[in-house]
Amino acid sequence: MIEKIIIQIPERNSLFNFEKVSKRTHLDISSVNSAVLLSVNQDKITRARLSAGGISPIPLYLSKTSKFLHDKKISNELVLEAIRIAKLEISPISDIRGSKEYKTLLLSQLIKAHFLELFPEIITAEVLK
Amino acid sequence: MINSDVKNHIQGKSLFIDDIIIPEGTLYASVCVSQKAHAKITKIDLAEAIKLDGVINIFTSADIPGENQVGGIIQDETLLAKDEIHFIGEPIALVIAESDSIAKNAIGKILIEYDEQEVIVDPREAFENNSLIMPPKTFESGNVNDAWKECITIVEGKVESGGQEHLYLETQGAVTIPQEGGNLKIISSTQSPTAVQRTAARILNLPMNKIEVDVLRLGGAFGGKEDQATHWAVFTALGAYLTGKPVKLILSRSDDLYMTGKRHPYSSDYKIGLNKDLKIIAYEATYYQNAGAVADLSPAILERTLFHATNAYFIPNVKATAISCKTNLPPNTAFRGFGGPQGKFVIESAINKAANILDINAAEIQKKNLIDAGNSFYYGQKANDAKAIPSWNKADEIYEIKKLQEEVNLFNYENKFYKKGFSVMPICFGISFTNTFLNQASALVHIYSDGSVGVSTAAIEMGQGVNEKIKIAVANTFSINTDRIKIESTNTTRIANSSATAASSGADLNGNAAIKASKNILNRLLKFASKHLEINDETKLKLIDGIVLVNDRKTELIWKDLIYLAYTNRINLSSHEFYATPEIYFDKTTNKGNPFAYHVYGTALTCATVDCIRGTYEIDYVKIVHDFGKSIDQKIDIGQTEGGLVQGIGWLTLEELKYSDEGKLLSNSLSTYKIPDIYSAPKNIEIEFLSDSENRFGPLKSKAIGEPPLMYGIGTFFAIFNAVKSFNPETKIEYSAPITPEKVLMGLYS
Repeated sequence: MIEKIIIQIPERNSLFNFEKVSKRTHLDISSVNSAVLLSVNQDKITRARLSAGGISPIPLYLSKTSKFLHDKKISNELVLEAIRIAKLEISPISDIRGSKEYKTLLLSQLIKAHFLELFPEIITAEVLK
Repeated sequence: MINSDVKNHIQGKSLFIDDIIIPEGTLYASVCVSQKAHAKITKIDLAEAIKLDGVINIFTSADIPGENQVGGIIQDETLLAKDEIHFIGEPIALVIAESDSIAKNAIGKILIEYDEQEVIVDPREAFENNSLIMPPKTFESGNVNDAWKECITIVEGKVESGGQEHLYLETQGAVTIPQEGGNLKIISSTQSPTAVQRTAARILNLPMNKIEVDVLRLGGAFGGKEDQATHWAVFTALGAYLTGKPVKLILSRSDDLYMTGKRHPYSSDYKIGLNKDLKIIAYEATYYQNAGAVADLSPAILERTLFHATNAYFIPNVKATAISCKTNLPPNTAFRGFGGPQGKFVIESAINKAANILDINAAEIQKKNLIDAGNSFYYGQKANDAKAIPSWNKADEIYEIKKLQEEVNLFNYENKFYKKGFSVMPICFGISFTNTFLNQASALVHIYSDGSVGVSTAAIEMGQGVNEKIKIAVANTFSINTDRIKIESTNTTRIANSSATAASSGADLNGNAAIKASKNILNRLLKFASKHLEINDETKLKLIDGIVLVNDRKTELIWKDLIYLAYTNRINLSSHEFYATPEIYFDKTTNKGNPFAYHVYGTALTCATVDCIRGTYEIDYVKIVHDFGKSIDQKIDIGQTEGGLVQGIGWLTLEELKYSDEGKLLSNSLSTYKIPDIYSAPKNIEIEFLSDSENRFGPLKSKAIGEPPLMYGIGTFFAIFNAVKSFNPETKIEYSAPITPEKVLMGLYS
């Protein structure tokens, strides 16, 4: 039974983004979703929290990836390296909501989407290549 | 005019099977079905189930008094399996109980033991194993083998299109009420009352005249109740016959999803050849149809695929072969378009691929090859009254194809994260049942002594507005207000030997029959009025707006008085009439003829935007020019066009039926099988009526509307496909529908 959900009030300079992709945009369970909460000082991440759903038996807090992002300067390369680490943390399966390969690609796209949404001046379209 | 059914629909007052007041003591049926896709039945143990309180009886194939056969085109389907089952959901036993929940509980207590056999779910694998519904069928014209020499561009490929769940709002269901003298009345949610009557008679070993089938309306069907409503209706008839009590059966949504067949998935190969002027010189295609376990309507659907292999194009050399492959899935069945959409999708894929190889817009090839008056379809029919070019030209004139393409190009030049794709989709769809004998209908019109009118036809109202169209046709013939006319339920006692309301032909066949019957009465009325008004020449009389005119001048004689006077003067105020579509024939030995009364044409322009980060997409617009003929009711026709379009878009984008290798439906609920909602429909739908189109075969010169617009949805596939291509010119995305967000994302990054 869930007794409590504690949600910290985001600190100053916090940035949040949520991404969800489902077969149908509305009224559908996501194939993969992901949330990110970043504390940022200028172009540096001071603290990162990244989670994702649809890529493991339960919604997953991507602790290694989150930890990796601490104290890192935001760049395309950082995003790509974070994705590489995230892929090691997840265990997607092929099912009715998509193949394993799709879910893996989709999570990496959603991580890119987080950074493209939050840092449009820093992250460039090159990150999609 | 607003369809008079709509008011009751939105107030929840319209009656469907489950709303019909049933007699006290009505029993409930539930059907025990196979949980294996292919097996021999080694044991059926009913002992525990029959002990349940409230279970009246459980019947198996041994209890069927007549012939255990429900096959229509091919006699290959039992009502209740005897020794072997061929798909998950195949009926084995019929439980009759005091309540629906008891009947369902009893199903769980029935023990069935199986000796499992090899399961095939893939049509090509079935073909390799020679597991076929019937021998392959080939239509051809010209000589493709010689024609390849004339081609400078030859493209080959493979195309996949998926199945589609009908998802009628009202699930399958029926009630049978025993009548005196061993007669039965079946109230069924069927497109095909005569099929229910004929099949029940066969199963029960009764003459057809002892069985009356009545249909008020259906809560949607889309082809899913053309053949597959029969089983459930016949189960209630069997239960009622064997127990002597009324029996009702309504499938739950989840049972309906996994027990009934869908649109046929197809896997196809094509080869297309063009000359230097982009003329398609030769086209060859092989279609592997996934028929499921028994024939159902698959042979007819297969034939319509062949008829529509070339869509709206004239191609001099064509060879098309269709193979109905028998797999261990529920028998796939009629679905709006009836094999036509599958055929069209293949040639459109071929053209798209050829255009990509030539680095031109597909529209350039499409436009160069549109069928013109004077051309013949490859099955021999002359394209009289061809409207492919006029509808394309009108779309170009009012929507400006070049400008729309340039807008897309500019957007793509300016945007990195989103790409748009544009497509043109011409359609051409033949109207008539391809089995010529089915093109018949009758109507029974009564005028009651108070001037009100009752009309019975074979048409089934299933939300498509056929009743309203027939009402308008009859009102127009008499020149009276539609308020005076009631369209009666569809009933086999009033209208015998009816064809299914299918093949888009409901309004055409039944509307024409109703007009003929109305004209008979009108002529009698005018003859009587001339006598009554002492005018020697009855041609001087007209009935306009409910008033008798002599030499175009109004008289005192109004409809109500005229009818009463006619009645008291013993004038026949009823007429039964018959209509059979003229001029159609088809030679099944040469596969040539004139199978269709006419064709419906149109052109759709589609633009979609793909989110190239996430692989999702939106449909910006679909702009259509459609050939409605002279529309009987523009609102109904626009509704049918929009509905057909969005249903087609669903088939090509989101609606993904998945079966396991064991033949189990995986997308078995509405949480995993997604149909388009308002957000996934195009943001903007524009529909323009092609002017100057009149159809001599349609009631009031109209054209059929049910199926053709669905095929505009094919344009959406190519709009999305082209957007993917624009982001990633090297994409490995395949011509495989539905083009789900998964396929799009994989395509963007392949």
